[in-house]
Amino acid sequence: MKRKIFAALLIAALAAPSAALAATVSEGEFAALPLGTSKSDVHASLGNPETASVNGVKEVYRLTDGGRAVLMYSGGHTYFGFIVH
Amino acid sequence: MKKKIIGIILCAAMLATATSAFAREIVHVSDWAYNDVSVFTSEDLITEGLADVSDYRQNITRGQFIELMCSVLIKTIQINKNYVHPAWYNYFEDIGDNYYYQLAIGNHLVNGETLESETNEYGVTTVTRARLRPDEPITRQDAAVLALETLGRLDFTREENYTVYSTTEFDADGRGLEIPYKSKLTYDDADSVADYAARAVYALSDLGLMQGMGKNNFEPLGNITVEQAISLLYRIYRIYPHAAYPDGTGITADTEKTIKTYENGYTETKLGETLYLKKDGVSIPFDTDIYSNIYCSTASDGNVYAAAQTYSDTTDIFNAVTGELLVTIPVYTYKTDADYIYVKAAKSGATTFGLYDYSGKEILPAKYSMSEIDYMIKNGFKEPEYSRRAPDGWIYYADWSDGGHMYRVDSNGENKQKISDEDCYDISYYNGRLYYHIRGKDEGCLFTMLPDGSDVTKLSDGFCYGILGDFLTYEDGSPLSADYTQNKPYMFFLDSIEKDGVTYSQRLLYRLTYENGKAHKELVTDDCGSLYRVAAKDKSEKSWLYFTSAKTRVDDTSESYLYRTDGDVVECVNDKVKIKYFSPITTTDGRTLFHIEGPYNDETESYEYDYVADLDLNYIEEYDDEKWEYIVDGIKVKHVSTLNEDGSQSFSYVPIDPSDNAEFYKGKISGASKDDALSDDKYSVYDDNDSGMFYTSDPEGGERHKLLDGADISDIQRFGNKLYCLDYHYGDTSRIDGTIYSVDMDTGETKAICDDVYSIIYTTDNAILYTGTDLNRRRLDVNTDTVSEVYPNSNKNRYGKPIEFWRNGSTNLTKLDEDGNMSDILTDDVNVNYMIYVPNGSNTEVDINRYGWEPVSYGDDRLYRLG
Repeated sequence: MKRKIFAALLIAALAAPSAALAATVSEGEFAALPLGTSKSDVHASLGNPETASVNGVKEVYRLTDGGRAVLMYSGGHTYFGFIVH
Repeated sequence: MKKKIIGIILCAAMLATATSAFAREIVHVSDWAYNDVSVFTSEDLITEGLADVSDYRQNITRGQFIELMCSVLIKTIQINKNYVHPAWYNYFEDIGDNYYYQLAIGNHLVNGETLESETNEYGVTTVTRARLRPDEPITRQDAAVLALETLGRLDFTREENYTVYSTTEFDADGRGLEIPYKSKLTYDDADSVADYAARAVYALSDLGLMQGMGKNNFEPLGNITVEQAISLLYRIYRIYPHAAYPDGTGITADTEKTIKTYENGYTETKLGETLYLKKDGVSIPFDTDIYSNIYCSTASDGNVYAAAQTYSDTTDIFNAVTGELLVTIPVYTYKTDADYIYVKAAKSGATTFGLYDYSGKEILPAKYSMSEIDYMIKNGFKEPEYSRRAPDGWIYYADWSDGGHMYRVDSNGENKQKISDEDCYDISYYNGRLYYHIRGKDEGCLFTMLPDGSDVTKLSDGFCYGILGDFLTYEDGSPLSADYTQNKPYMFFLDSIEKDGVTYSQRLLYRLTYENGKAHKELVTDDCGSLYRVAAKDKSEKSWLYFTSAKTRVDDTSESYLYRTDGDVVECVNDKVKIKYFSPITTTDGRTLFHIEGPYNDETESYEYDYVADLDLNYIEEYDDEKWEYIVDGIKVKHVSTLNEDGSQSFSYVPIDPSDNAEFYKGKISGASKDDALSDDKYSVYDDNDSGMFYTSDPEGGERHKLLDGADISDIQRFGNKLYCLDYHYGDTSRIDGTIYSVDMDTGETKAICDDVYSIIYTTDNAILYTGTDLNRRRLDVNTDTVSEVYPNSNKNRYGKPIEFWRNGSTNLTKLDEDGNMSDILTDDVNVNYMIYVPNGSNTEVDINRYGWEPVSYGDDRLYRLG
């Protein structure tokens, strides 16, 4: 069983370095991502997300135009995703 | 029974998984719609019609909207394919093979537009085309109409709530008036709303589910976008009582707001689109596009746990103090306590329940075991899974695992309460009371009690036909038996009389009244034979129960006057007319008339009169069976008499619309024997209790070899080395059609030849003629296994092989050749309704004394006619 630390303070502590490493991707790059991609391939392609849910099902990327894009995972692969306007 | 229930379970399981996330690519959504769209997608409500749509800000089509609507209803198990009949959706020319369109049409969720009909040369009018226009954008007013239909299917606008948006209101004098919804609309462009959509626009606006488009305009002809449609349907979906309403739904939290406080001191708040679980400075966030509900409990082991229910029907269990994600369990949670996480198999509707502990160990599976299903089948108990939520929010069911005792559980699956220790069945809820039968002592008797199990009253002393008997149901399909004439919520039921083991045709008719919540029965008559309820067309008129006296019939089989009662008075309808039988005729313009017969004259062997009468038994017209259309069990039918080869007659009804009622079709029309046998050669083929077609070398008991599975195989015919048979798919309630199979007796190869069979007419040397589910006649050539259309007709009679006679709707009795085409007009005498043809050389004997068959000269063959 994977155990993940989820205390709010720890989240806050982790958020800073995670944000520093987070990628900013273009809308086109994100839209071109095929659904069904593994999480490691997503990260290899787009870089690290801005935030990720503790249960691993959601990642949020910051878009270059200031918008956001959301990926939802199921079974370790992208299940669906949104570019939010 | 076993087969049926398992079939239902499988069917439900298939329906529950019929949808899946069909988003095939990343899509664009507006910020305001993101949460609804994301959750809707997580709930697997997106359908394949949107698979190629990458921008949800664009207009949605009618077809895509219907798909989403069906998806919601499938998910909530408020729709099924049982009602679908291919002959009906075949009328639609633009639906193709789309499962959802067929479902919507078959369930009458949508009506075809631009219905077109044509009358063929034989005077038969049929609807030929209808269009769904699935590729066109859907207007806002049409979306409102469909949304209201969806709400209705989810029970929101039914039962008590139905009156909120009923179509009729009553004035001070009790007269029913159509509610002018259009005038109630306050939009500036209300005049632009179509009449058919006014009620829906009003209701959706009133419920806050649809709003104006700025400047107080509804813009009924404007189109809606995909994300608007999803948001609308998701709001409707949430209304249905899921295991839990998502926490914080409807709360706009620009600033942090408290959602609830737990017993252990934790609070749940909402800020923006995030829920927080808080205590002592620790705040755990839960995004509302992932989690729907949070449950927090202090467990017996001293730890505090949070169970976070996801939209993917899994539950994440956290340590609420440290924030650790401990385990994910693959089921839906509806509550927690110190020891257990309470789960259920499905979030929608009643379901099976289970338990987990906080280590993630399954204690009680949230599904039935096979042994439990066997037990249920053996005992015939109703399954909780199929019990419906009553309008009061409770689900009532007899628990098969607990002696049939009646329980209720709230729509969140909580607060289970035993409300009866009896072995109960046929539980119904009406007007704030439960009605049910019990087993054991007082078997078959009708009981009533209040929903909490109090005030148990035994209503009938003998077997009761039930509150929902055929006689007492509103003709408009409303399930209420109450008679609201003059605002009197009467309900009636019939009690039987048994003496010395004999059940008499004389029955007791009771009326139920209530005082201070207590049920009282009042005897209306102790002499009720046949009974039929004529409902008032609107609530300003009385509804009457018409009945004959049975006492006299039991004694001397004589005729009876016709009586009627409104529950208060009993009166003789006409003291000059005694009748033997009466049966209702609902005319196509909505009137109810009676076909009456009587008295019977033994000398002439006929009834002294046989006519159609009004409700006062005044003469209207001589009765012509061929002329009158009937409505039986709510289905418009033709009365069809069938002549058997020995000259006897049998009667049945043929639905005019083939999409009507599967059981009616099967029960009344399928008269084929199950034990047809081939006596030639060494084979004997039959369908016995083993649910199949067999061959054997010894008809008297040789080893049988199964050729084909099927519980309702009939019309077995042999052509060379191939057997053909008809299977009506008994037990498969989704089908009312039959399939003709061929079985090669040498190789065992089985082929389904055609699956649109209504009934087989007759068989020639090289063909099977049958009536299709659209009531058109077809010919199956067994040499090529091809099907072709032949002489069209909607009114078939089987008068022996190989020739058939029928009246083609107006004048002639016709003889058909072996290809099904008309070969001769036997008579144009409209007074001759039936003929029997016996080919030369046939040894068929006709008892001419029976019914008075009259021989007619017809070459070397024999012909008999009956006026």
